Amino acid sequence: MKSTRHAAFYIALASIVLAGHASAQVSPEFSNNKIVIYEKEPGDRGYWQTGIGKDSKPASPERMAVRNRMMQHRVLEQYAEFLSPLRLPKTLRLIASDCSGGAWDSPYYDPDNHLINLCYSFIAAAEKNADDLIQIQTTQRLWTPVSREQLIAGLFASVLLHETGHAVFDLLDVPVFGREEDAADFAAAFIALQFGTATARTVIKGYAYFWAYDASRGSDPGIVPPNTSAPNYPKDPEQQCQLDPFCAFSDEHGTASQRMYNVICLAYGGDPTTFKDLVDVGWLPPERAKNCASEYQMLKFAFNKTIFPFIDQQKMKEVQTRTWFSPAELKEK
Amino acid sequence: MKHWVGSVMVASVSALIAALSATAMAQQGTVSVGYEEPTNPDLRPIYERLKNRAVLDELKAFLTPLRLPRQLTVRTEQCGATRVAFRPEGLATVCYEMVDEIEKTVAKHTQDPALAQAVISGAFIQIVFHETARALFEVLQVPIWGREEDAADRLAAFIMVQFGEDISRVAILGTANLFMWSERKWTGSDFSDVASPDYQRFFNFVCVAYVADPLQFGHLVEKGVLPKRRANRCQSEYEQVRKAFDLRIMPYVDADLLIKIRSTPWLVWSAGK
Repeated sequence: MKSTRHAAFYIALASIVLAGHASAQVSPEFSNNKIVIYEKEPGDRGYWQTGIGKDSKPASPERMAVRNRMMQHRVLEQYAEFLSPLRLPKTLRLIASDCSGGAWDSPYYDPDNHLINLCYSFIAAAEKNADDLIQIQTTQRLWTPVSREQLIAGLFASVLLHETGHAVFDLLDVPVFGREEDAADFAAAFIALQFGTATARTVIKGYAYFWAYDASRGSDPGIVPPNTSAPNYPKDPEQQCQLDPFCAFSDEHGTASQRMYNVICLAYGGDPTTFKDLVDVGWLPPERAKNCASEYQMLKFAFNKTIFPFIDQQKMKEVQTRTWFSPAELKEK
Repeated sequence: MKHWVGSVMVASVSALIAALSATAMAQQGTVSVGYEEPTNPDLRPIYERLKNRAVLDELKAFLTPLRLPRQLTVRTEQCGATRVAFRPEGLATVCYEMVDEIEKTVAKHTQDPALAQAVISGAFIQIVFHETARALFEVLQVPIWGREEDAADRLAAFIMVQFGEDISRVAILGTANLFMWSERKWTGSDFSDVASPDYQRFFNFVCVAYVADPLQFGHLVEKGVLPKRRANRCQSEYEQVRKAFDLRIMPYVDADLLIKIRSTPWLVWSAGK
């Protein structure tokens, strides 16, 4: 979700992608020749056995286990099928890889290569995150109960939809007047809301709980200047900036809390019946809640003007009627 | 036969175009401006100053290259708050209370009359541009991706840096100083606000300015006010706003009148006369 962290990969990646192999294992009824799962080695089905970039290393056995699970679930294939109604002027490439090999590599869209990369470590991190949240749920009252399966599926889907937003803005030359990171969140929320109430709730919950948890661990900018002479004060200027009450706001992303409020507001604005409980329990303050219907309308207007014309409506109906989550992933608790 | 069909089609297409342009002409909207008299005597000096300096008349002249399909109104008034809670489409409202708040904030942070005047002028330009941008989005039916308040800021920042150093210096430095001096602390559910924190807005404006004029605003990066991590992204942010502007606003701009506007000296009032 913070795609800039991967900027260093982009240049090194160009040569690799050109040397790669296109492959197609998607169901014929959902095929789209502009959406390509990209193999590094013939037969890897786009699930690379390494990281990405010049110094990429083979994935560890733990990451290879994640890779195998993703292959069993046909994650890339299903993602390609989900995207198939898009009429893209340029080819979009999808891969899964060990990314930088780091512990918290978030999936990202790389505009230089028109490529979306799903990082193995993100699955592992999302699972850890879900375990923590399930634990918190036993002592604290959250917006609404949630299961581990629902959390993981919802978070993963919301991140994929967010990156899809970045890719679509780039490939379709969508005019983006607001901040692009918010715009990508808005695209994710809007798409999720077009798939029925159960799917919408899974995606919005996964997303909202992720950012709520992130904010609860202090990721919103602080209001007290840090003690710069403390022994644990970081030396890295970027980390120093995150601790500074002014500089922390320089991030091109909204704060964790802002991102949560934006998306739950759009969910409530788009479907007040399904998301009424957000307001009832006070997760969405009434002052914002009263604005949400018009925020959703503004988003719908933008979507209809700039993206809708690029969607094959016949195919879209098929995608919308298909079930994308398992019953366990749609179950509220 | 083929030829005949072709001519009929050409004829009807021309008729259609003529009809459409006639409609467009008939629907031509204009910019109107107005200074509403406040009932609160404390706000009266602000009203008189703005009126005497004819700031909205200058804005109106500045906006003449716009070919608007509908009416756009910019008005200064007493709102009962720093911003209006509800406003009809196509109306930009600048509240005297907001100008008053700016003047108080500035007085708290500087004793230098020249700096104070520059910041007040720049911050005022920001408010007028921001509110006008929101009304313009409605009048031109511009699709907005992202938060509307940020979109209005990014368009305002983009306009501020298209008309030479004199405007961009006053407007950007005034805006940036005011946001930097903000005393509002954001925590928890404060972040549910539709508006962005002033510090975020600071970086959004400065980012656009830095790309448009690195000679004038590059020192913000050198001094570390605009951190390198964000500065590295500003070029693509700027390009994004420019692309959105070219696609959605530029088609409504008369290119010849724009040149005239660019050759006109602006902000004569900002020197404190």
